[in-house]
Amino acid sequence: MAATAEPLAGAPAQRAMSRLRRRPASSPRLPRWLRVRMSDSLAVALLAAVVCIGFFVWYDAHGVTNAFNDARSRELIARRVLVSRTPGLAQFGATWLPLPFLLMLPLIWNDTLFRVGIAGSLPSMLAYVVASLYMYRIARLVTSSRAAGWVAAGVLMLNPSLLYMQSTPMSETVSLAASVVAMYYALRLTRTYHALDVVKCAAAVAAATLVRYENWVLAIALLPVLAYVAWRRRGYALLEAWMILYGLLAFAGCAGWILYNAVIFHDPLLSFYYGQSSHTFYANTPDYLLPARHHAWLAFAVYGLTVAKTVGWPILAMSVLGLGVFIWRGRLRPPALPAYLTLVPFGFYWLALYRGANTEGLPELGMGPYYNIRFGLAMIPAVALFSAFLCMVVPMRLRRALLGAQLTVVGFLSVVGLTHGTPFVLREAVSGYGGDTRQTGPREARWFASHYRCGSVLYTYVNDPALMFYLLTQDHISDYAFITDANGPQFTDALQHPERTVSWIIMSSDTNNAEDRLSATLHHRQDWRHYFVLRRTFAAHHSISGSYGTTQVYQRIPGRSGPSRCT
Amino acid sequence: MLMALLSVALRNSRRLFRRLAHRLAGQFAHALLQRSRGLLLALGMLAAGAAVIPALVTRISTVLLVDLDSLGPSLLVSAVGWATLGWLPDALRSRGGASNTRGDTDGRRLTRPLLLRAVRGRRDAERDPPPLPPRPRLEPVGPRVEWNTVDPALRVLSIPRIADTAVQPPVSSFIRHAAPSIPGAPVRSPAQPFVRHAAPGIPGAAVRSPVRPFVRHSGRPRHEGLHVPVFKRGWPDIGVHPDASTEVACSRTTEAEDHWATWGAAREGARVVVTRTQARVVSLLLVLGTALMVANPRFELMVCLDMIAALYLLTGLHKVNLLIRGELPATAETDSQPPAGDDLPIYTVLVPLHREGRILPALVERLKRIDYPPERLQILLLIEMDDEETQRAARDYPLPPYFRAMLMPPGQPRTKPRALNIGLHEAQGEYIVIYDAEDQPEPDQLRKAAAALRELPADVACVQARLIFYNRTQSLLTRMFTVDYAVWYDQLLPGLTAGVRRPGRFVPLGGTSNHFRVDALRKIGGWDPFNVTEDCDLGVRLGREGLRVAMLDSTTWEEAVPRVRPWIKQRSRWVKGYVQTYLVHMRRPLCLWKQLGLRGFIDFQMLVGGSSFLLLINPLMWALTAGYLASKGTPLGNFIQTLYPPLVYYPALMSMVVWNFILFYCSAYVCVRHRLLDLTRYTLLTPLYWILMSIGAWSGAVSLIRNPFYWAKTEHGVSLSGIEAAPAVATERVGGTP
Repeated sequence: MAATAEPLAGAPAQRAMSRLRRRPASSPRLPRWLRVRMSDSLAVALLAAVVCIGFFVWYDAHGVTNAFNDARSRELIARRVLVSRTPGLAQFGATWLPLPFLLMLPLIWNDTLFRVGIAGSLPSMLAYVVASLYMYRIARLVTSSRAAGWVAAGVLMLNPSLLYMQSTPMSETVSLAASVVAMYYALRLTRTYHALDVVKCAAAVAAATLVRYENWVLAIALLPVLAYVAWRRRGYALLEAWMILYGLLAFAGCAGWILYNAVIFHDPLLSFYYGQSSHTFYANTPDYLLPARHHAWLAFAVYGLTVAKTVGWPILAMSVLGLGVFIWRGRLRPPALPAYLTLVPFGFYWLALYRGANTEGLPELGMGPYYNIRFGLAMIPAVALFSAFLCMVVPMRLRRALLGAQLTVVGFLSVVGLTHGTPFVLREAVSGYGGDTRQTGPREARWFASHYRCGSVLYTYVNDPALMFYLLTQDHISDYAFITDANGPQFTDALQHPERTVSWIIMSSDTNNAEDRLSATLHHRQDWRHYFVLRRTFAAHHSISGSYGTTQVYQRIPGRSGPSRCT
Repeated sequence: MLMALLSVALRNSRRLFRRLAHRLAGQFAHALLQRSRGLLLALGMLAAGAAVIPALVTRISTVLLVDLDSLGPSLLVSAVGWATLGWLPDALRSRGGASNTRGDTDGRRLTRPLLLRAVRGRRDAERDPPPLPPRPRLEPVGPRVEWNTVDPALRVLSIPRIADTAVQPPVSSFIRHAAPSIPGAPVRSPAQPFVRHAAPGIPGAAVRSPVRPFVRHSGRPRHEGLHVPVFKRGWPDIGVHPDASTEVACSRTTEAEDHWATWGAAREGARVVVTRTQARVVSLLLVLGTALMVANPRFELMVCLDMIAALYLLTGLHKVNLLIRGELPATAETDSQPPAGDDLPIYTVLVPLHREGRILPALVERLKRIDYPPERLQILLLIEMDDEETQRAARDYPLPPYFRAMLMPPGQPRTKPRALNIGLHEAQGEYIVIYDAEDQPEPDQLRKAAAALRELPADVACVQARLIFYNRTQSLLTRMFTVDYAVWYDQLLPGLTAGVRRPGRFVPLGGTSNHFRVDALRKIGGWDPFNVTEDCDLGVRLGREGLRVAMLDSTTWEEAVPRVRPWIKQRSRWVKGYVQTYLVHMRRPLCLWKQLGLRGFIDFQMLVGGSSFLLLINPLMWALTAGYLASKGTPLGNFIQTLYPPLVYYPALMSMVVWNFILFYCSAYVCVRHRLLDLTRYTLLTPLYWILMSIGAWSGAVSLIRNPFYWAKTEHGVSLSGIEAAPAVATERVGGTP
């Protein structure tokens, strides 16, 4: 031993010698510019970037990146913050949280990027890369194994539903990324006890609370975990300090949103009592539309099946086993506690279904067309983490084989899911209530564009966002041509005297929808009909709550008094 | 031909006459201006006021936009006003002049005319005397001499015993002759201390500290076989007999005070608060602002609010940037091992004292704990001549041999930096550090600093130790003050010094515990005696000279001001000094940019100018917000609302929310990060602290106008416990008896 170490002058020399031994001098060497020393994190990020770009191109080529109604609405909202008759932050509205829109703003103002769709999808794509990277880090932190990190990242990266969602402007991927980052820093905090990790965790939670409301629950759930960890470490002093440091930032997003509502809409809680808000909406929904309400087992089965369909049965089974082992091995110590936060979405959605605050549509359980099945995506981090942990329970000699097998299964399921059938989440947009049920939006938009020459168009988003989306993206009608319910006083004026202001009116025949101010107002008045003529009626738009009625297109009769030229 | 010649002559004569008339008119106008400048000034101001004020009132009261036609007269009035204001500095300078430049004690009479004069710094600098020649290098040559055998001689000779140790060896020939006959008197040795005749015929005491015995002053004349330093511009030590000291001081004050008022950094420093160019720029801005206010008040208010919002946002972002940089590995902090005792350089500690007699004993005890070889340590207690209290305490308390109490010659401005300059001139060390009276440095701080300064490149001229309070739990204010200090010293200053790759960065130094290379400090002219935050000013000047500052991984414990009124007084001085520093260094902004670099320039603008301005503007913005909330729906509320179009509203809202939150959160983070866990909850009261800061800022602004060089003294030792104060009491009792 001493003899071998003697000629070496230290650790660097030893490393140099070992390198020389491993690589014979005669072996061909890569050119210098090709020799890249890449860390695992960088490799995961690069791989995720390549995958996300590839699948965006793939789904865009198939024209489904904006298949969800919500995707179109989200792009329209982000667009009109910058490009509309009344631009401004008030265009965020009170229904959806603003961070996804804010992330779209840097590109959405550009007409080309908006019409191509990359402006709306880019935040989701970036979030996908971030989520993959931090999933790797979480698994590596918990298991201390690079291979387990790769397995966890693989489970997340190769999930067909997530691969589809990351190519859309929907908020699920962004929410997933923010929560994964928050959980990573919470886990790291239990090892470093560093104040900066508290800040990073809180910042990620704050971002998550500005993406989806369910993350507000995550923010609250982290409180007792961090409090317990701090108390175990240094007693009440650290607990109090951490709570202040975490609470100030983590709930800043919630406070900011409430402040936004107060400043813009003069009602701080408007988002919670708004007519379209989920829980108020479902509170008035009949029981037959909410079969899981007050049925604990059915609610469990609905969400469990959603998760299983989203991640695949084999991987779900492995993750359940992994969770069991994780608990069995006494993983209730502070360093492991944040890992259980990955299970929070399951509890949240189960409770939401049970309380009837939301619903899902699963044809497999005889519950109508697909609806809200994208909720299952929130459980991917938990599945990825615990399935990767399962590999750690086997002996060392079998571990590598098991990890390889696991990666193979993940890859196989992904390939099968992508090639033999539609990704589970996409079914909601294609054949469920989440998409354009009529599938005629582009055709109707083309008809309107072929007849439209100039003038303002009176329109409401509540009626049918698909039509306006296609008019803007496919038929290149100017954003400034539309007077909508997002334009405040201009819309009110146009509603009072449409003949003086607009040349076209597109409205629903459904007069019962109180949210649709246009239809609810004009259908009961006759004064404007003297100046307009009905040009076309489109098919009804259906949703889980019923039909919105047919869409009627009125054109102002030429020669009558009104705007003398196109404005 | 004749006609042609005639016409040419006539034309030329016309031209000649015209020129003559112009010249005469010019001379007449000049003479008129010279003689009746004050009258013209008053008339001009009256005219401008008569024209502007009614229009201003009308515009504001009607809150209407005016058409551009009204802009013409407004601009005309503005031009007249500007021309009038442009004369203002000259007029006031000719009046304020030389009558009020010297002689008062608090600087009040000295400073007011200087503010109004607004003279050019360069012109004054040309009249200044040349700087002091640097002191020759002093070298240690021998062992330290114990002087505890002096006491019997003093008793016999009835010489007042001023310090318990060997500060005062028996004096001159009297002792030399008498000592052999006195039992226990010291035997003179080649290393016997320097002795100076205090005054003819007066048996005075020693004037040099015991550090001198082992320091040979090369090239100095010998006096009676002893090495006697001779100072042309000397000042007495405290060891001199009271009568003699007064006499000596008075006989030497004129030269000394003339010198220190114009030496080094004072030459182009804050002695001139506003230069003529600055005054003109400010007056031009004021006049243009007034004109715009007359023409379009709403637009001007919108522009102002937008700029303020942008400043809030930029300052907040800058602070976040510093916080992030503060988390980077502190390259400046050194982990090097302190050198062994033999390798340690001579270190000078300057302790400026003013009315600190009560805590002087505690201070001495704390400084005695410094782990540094006494023979290589020179501690100078800088005491003002008229500060009887501190002098008495210094006389009564037994000072160790390496302590030396010095009396500052009278003169103006009587400030801490002036005393430091005098101390710098007397410093024999290679390095120098400043401590305040209440400071308690970590015992190994000097060793660490010596090691750091030796290892760091030569362009690192200063290392700054961390400051923190030892009485942080004394009151709510001290708790919040501690948080403020922690943010500054634990996060922002490391952020400013971290990652420095090229010299020229700006670091606002702390008032104490900054360790300098003496040569560098002398080279840049010491401290500016007219600047009441001489530390910040010195930081800028170091940066401008291409010298750097590093953070030292050592702590000095200070005393936080526990009561509101003294705290506001202290804060007012800080803000005043920051504004002084800003005005001094913004005399040539492009030059400053070039010397500090872009990052240093931004740091300077944000930390010195921006933060001071925002502290002043905060109450106005709070009042505006409160006014809007209170008058929502009323005409006033609607008017305020019209001031915030979307282009202004969103940045203003964001800056208000983001800026406030960032400041809030930074404090909480620093508390957790640096283990001040018990203070975290008090960060929630930060807005109250901001209110106090704004009060202090306004107080400082008023003081800057009324009395720019007034040094608002911070009372120290308020929090000293009975245990710590006990040595002082005991010493007072014991010190009187030999």
